[in-house]
Amino acid sequence: MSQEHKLSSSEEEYLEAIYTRQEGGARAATTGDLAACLGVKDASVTEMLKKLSEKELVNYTPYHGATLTEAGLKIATKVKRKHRLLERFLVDICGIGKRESHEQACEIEHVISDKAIDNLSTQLGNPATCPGGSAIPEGEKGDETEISKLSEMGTGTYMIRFLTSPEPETISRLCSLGLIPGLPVKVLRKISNGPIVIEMKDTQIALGRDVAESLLVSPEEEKEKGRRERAKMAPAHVIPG
Amino acid sequence: MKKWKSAPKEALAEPTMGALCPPVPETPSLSRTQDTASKKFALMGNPSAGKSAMFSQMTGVSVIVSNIPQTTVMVQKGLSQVNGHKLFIYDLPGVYSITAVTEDEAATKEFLLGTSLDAVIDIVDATRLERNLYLTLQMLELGLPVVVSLNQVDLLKTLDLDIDVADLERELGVRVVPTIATQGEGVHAALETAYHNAERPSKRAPRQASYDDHVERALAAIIPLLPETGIPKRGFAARLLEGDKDFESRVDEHTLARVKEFRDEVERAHGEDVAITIARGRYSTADLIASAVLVRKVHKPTLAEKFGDIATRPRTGYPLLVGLIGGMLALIFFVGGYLSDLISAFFEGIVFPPVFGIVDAHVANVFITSAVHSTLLALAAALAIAVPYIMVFFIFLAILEDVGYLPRVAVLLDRQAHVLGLRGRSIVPLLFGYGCSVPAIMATRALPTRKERIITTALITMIPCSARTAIILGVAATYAGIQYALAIYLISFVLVIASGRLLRSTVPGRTAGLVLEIPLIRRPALVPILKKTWLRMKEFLYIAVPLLIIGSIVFGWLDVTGLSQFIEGPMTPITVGILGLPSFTAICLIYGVLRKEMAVEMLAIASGTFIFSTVMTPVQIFVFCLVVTLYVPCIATFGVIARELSARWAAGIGIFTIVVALIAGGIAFRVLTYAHW
Repeated sequence: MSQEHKLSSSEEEYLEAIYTRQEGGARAATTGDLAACLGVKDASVTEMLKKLSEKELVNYTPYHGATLTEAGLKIATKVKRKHRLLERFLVDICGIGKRESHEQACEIEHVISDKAIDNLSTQLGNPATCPGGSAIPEGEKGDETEISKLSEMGTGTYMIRFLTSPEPETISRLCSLGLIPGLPVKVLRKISNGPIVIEMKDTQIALGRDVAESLLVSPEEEKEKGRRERAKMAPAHVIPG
Repeated sequence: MKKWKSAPKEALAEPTMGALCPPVPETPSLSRTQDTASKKFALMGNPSAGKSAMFSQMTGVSVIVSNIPQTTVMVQKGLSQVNGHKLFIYDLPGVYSITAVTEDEAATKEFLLGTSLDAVIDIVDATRLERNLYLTLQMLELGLPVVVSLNQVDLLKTLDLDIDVADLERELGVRVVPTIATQGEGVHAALETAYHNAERPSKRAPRQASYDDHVERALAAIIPLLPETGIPKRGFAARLLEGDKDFESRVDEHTLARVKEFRDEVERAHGEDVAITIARGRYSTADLIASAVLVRKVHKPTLAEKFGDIATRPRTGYPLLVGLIGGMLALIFFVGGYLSDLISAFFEGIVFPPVFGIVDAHVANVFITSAVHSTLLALAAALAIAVPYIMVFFIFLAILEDVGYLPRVAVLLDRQAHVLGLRGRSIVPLLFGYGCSVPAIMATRALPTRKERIITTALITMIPCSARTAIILGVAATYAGIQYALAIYLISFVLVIASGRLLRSTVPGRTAGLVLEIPLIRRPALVPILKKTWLRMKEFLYIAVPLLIIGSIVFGWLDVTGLSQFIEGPMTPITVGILGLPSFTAICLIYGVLRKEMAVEMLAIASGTFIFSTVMTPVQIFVFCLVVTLYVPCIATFGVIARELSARWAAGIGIFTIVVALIAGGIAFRVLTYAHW
């Protein structure tokens, strides 16, 4: 699990603004630049840059400008990613106009968790660009394994990660059949444009395509696989007689 | 890209579970000891665990079907006995769990907690142990007096599995009886064990599902806040944590607020809905128990499993399906036809001549003779037309059901069902519609959302049932030509699809995703099939025969008194004007509303002959059969629709089908006449 950074919204805004400048080709973001784009006084900018410099998130040279340190870059990238994915979401799914979605994304990006944004990306099909055309930075790899929709996987065994269906009946039914996050599931057969037949603990279950899309899985880890195979073969105990 | 639903979420339990729980149930011990009245057992279990087979083995033919109050969920109640003691056995719907999300589950839970049961016989499918134990653990958590019937143990061998029953008993803390319901094995032992358990409850505490630390802490904190209700507090607390509305209504605001706090805490810790965390706890426990008692050997796929694969794989599955449907229609036509002829011959040769002879000779009152004629004709019609065709169909369907084939059809046709706004699971009720609309519409109860139930019901009324098939094949094919019969099938098929698309966009609500268990293929047993078929026929006959007789008598009198011509007249604009039919068909169309075949009988009576080609042109015969096939469902169907959906929908569907029939018939008449066919 990646950690949540403990920066305030305005601190993140600053890092984001510097990132945008650098993305645009500027060497460093000057105080004047930042004051203009963030709508604050020069003095406030200077104060904030000093604070960020202390936290080792920016390299600040007075009268010259600020650039991001590696740590600062990491955070800024993450925030930018959230911003652009949220814009995609608001424009494509929620039907909000570009300008309004930009404004709203600016607010939401500071409170939405890393996990939520990763899932959102998956649901949206991991888009590459935001509505404005800028590239969406990739998420942190860290120790996160690849998560994809069950409907996109071929035959094989996977580990269930999340159940994201919006219908309570479907989630309840999935749970009562044993399709719970943390348990393995095997894809047996896919009917083109039709249901996917899976196997869960020796039971065959047919999932509608839309249901399979709401089931997020990751490839089974090798050690899990080995454990499962061994458990299958060894009898738990001997039957008398 | 997946579209996110923007419509507001419908209530979790639908249709409404309505009223709050019945008064506090008696504590289990009270209901068992001093009572000398007959004991009450309930049968619970997953769908396809073998519950119906068990029920039919345990009970005789006198089975009463009734609703759970305030729901449309049916419970069958039968009489049984063990060692001379009379018993009542309730067959509850097959469910995977008893949370309150679908109507079946919610109503079942309500019944279990609200009725003072002496035993709950849990039918556990031995070949699906973990999954079945999920339900078992839920029932144990709620303190129900469970006895496990470990069913289908014969299949264990073919799957190279083995279960130690004694170990399972130890793990669960309840009695376990191995059974093979389809062969009657262990059924009596199960009853005896349940009875014994009711008389002298075991001291052992039944196994409880264990959850992860966060949940356990929450449960421990909630338990002291709970009132005494006779339901074990741990189970009560788990239900509250899950957000079960039923249970929430049994505690006060303050406790609810605390529960919500705990729930939020657990959800924060796990990052998922608490219902999933709790489900995982139950599943892990079930898994633990199963691993402790189950032994696996190396397994090669059996013939049955191979057949199962063939049936589900599209390349082989579709041809198989087409073959089976063709075979079914052929069976209905030939075997049904043969039986029908036999029965007709019996009536005409042996019953009618003496009875009519006596009545006509000795009774002067023309109304009475007419009534007697009508009654016998109606009875003959019911037995000779409806019964052979419908019964043959039901047997065929029951076989497919028990073999485990039907879910595979649902999988194959899921994609196509989307066109109609439905899912593969609606295919089975639609198939039933080929036999009779009444049980078909009753089968829609199993569908999870109201929208699916509405659309499926409407489409069922447009599918040619046995009666309509008898008309199509018996009248159109015989007297007009086979091409006309096929045309009617084709037209009704196209109209079903068109109506489905229309309803898909106009009916409010949503359709739930397909999550369907595909059972093992297994050998069907004769007794459960016959029992099942009989129960379905019974409901049909009890409704249909009286109506048929009354209708025939009334028509007979109309004819005798000469009043029928008063109906012909006003209807001419429709019969002759729009449809191009002879005017005497008016009364037939009216009576077709009572029962479809009556339209044909009345046609024979009104035109004076059974050989319709002498009084109507092929085009007229075709149009008549087409209209009869499409317009209003029969009165029994109306009744079922009114009960399952609402009277408004029944009326709406009726009007819709009349309009469709008139348009189709009108167009057919004009097109065919001008094309000089």
